[in-house]
Amino acid sequence: MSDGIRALHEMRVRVRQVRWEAAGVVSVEFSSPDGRQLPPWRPGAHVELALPTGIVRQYSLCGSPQDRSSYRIGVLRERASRGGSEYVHAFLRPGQCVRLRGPLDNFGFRRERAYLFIAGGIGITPVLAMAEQAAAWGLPWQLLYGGRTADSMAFLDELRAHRNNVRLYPKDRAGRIPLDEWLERPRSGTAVYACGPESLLTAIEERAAHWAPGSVRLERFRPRPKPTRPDTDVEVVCERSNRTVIVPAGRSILSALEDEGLPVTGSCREGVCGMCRTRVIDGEPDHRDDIHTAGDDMYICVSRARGGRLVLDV
Amino acid sequence: MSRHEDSRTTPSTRTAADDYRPIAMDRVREIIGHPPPFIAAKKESHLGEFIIRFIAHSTFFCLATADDAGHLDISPKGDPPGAVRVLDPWTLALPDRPGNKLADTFENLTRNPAVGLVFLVPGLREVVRVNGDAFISDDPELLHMLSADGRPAVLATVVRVREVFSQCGKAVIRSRLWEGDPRHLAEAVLLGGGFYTMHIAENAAKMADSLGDQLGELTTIAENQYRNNLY
Repeated sequence: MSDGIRALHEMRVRVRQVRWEAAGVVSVEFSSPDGRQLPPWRPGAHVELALPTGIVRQYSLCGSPQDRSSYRIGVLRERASRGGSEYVHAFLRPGQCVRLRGPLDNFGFRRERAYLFIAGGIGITPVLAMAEQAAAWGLPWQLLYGGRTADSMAFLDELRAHRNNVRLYPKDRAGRIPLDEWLERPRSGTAVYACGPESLLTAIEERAAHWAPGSVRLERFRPRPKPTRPDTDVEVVCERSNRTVIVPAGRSILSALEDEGLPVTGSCREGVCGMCRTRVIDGEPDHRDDIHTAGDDMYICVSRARGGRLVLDV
Repeated sequence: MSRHEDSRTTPSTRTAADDYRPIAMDRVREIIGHPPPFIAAKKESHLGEFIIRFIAHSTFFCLATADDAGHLDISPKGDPPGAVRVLDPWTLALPDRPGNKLADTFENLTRNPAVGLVFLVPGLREVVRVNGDAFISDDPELLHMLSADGRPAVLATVVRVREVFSQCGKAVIRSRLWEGDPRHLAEAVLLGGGFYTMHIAENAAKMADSLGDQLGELTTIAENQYRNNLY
């Protein structure tokens, strides 16, 4: 998997369609300006969108991985937007060209015996592609989808085709997703994939604490609030570049290596997007990200070292 | 010119301006003439969709303020595109970044709310102008919205829009301001159309009244003006 992640594509794509999906949500379709196929992706993957204004944001792909002629994302307009979702809603229009990087796969969606998908609000975007894949495989799955109001919940028309597998919880009419009911009894062979606001994901982690390790996979829009841990200096040996950099406390490994001109790349810089994933050759990383699928790798924008020394594949 | 040397060390004596006598408006009109009706009628009281798009891609603007005695100050502001935010068709929010503690603009604004703004987009010759009244805010959510590079703005200037208009590109052409722009912002603003096509699309009814048959030729007229009538 990590090989797929490191082969990052950067491409110029054209907006093919902007579609109003629900109150405050548009979907945007991108295709290659010369009609070429776009790089393959797995359900749960996301891309980094660079807007003409220079703002960069991450969005989950929510179209069909089989259709390589276009990518689709869903974008919620944030009330106090810092300019990203506002640009997509108010200014991004068919015909415009933008830059994409990716796709990136942090979710690690795999074939399992059965699935329980849980989506809150715009968290439906990665989950939609995963649910479609489960349906295509003919595997048993359920989707619990909550939102403020039915009005604000995107892609309901597409989910109608799977109405026997989907439970909708518009909060104003049906209340919150009854997590206790669904997570009380762990089901072996069933994997839980969830995306949504922090409150929902925290509740899922609490209610599913007794599920088998690795059976619950979450994707966050923003880093989880956590207590600040004390930093110490880290000695980073960049093996391929044959360089050693001392990263002082209070400075990220990513930005210290960037300053030294070493070939690293980052985007969100808060441990959610996965762009800076780096292979660890030696040393014990102190993982501080919210992706939790590092394996032998680490996310150098937030994570540090336990022993004060790391050897990285940089 | 020796008189000018003197005036540098002893101000409030005669200066070069005293060599000339001001003329009145009727004499000005005698020389420059009167604007055609469509120019006179081009001011709007709020930001239209295209003007909002223009401001969202602008990287550079100048902000004029005045103190309570009416003394003016004008300040150029550059930022990544989209730094000035349109909160609604009647309201702009301008960020203030860390560093400049001169605060002439803020001193003025606390005494006199009047502001004049001119917005430019790299690669576009026409400019957008906004006049209105402004005040300073430290609202945390607004400062967060005006973040750049992950850091919130230090202060926000909220502008209540009084009048909005666009101005032709002669000044930009004469100054050869743009050397080409790798971000293709002009393309992003125009969506494949022309400035006047977009402008007419939004204000067709009003402009048809003032321009009549000439409306469809506005782009041609403007291009012709740019080519043949710059000076």
